[in-house]
Amino acid sequence: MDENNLNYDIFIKGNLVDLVIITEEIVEHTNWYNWFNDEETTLHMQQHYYPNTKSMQMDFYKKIIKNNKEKIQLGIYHKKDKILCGLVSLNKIDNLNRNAEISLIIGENKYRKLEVSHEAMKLIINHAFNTINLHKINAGYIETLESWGLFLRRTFGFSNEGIQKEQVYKNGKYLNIVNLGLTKNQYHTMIKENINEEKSD
Amino acid sequence: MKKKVTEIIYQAINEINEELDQALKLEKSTNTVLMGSNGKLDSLGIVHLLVIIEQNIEDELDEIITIADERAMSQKRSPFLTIETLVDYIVMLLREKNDE
Repeated sequence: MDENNLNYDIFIKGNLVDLVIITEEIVEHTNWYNWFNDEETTLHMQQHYYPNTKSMQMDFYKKIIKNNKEKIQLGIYHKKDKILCGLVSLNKIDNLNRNAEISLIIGENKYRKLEVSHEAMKLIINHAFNTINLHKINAGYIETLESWGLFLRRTFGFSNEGIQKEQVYKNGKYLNIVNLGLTKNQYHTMIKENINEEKSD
Repeated sequence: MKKKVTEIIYQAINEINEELDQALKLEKSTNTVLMGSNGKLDSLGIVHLLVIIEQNIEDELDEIITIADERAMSQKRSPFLTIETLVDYIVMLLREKNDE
């Protein structure tokens, strides 16, 4: 089956992208598994240590994603081009303390654009705070990805919560992990400020 | 003001072009597309460029402005679409700053 002919079930609607439900068909008929075999895609990620195969990805889907109430992993579907270009996730959802970890990957190189990442992040953050009522979202990135960290801080209101020194071995070096956090209040304050600024323009 | 801001952006493009492969180098023209499917820069590249521009504005005009933030991202028409729209946006931010 051609990837463009797959049926995608939309979970959250956006303008440029929709967030869609991951299914066995998606694992089977898209390039998802192969994103983790690509050195460029995984340059700033804790991936590409061991090869990944379609059957390994299917196992991951069945064991880790399907019916897992502690994880929401959604595909980023580019509406115009009708392609699954990445994934966005809320991981380790802690229902007692109302927090989770957020992550994003844009696997298809052509779609590694600011507007795609921004909309996918915004949709999942809104879902986290306004639908499943999380209180806080955590994010982490390898220090080499500082531009992304800066974008998260400025665009959504994330704040620095510390550094794990030499936590990750990547590309021949031990690298720091930068931890960020975003509370519901911080996020809503940031959004409100921007609405007010737009009105005053 | 527009001319000066355009110069500052071109200066930042010179810096960023040093790090880019030939095919990805940005042309110094007001029509150059920055964002969208025809833009050459990926998400990290565009944030990097905007940060260099912010730094150059501080160095040359002694003004501290934030270009890359949620306000810019949530505009209906992105100010980062082309160099021309970016110049207009920066000039607007600088005017706002001076009106404060």
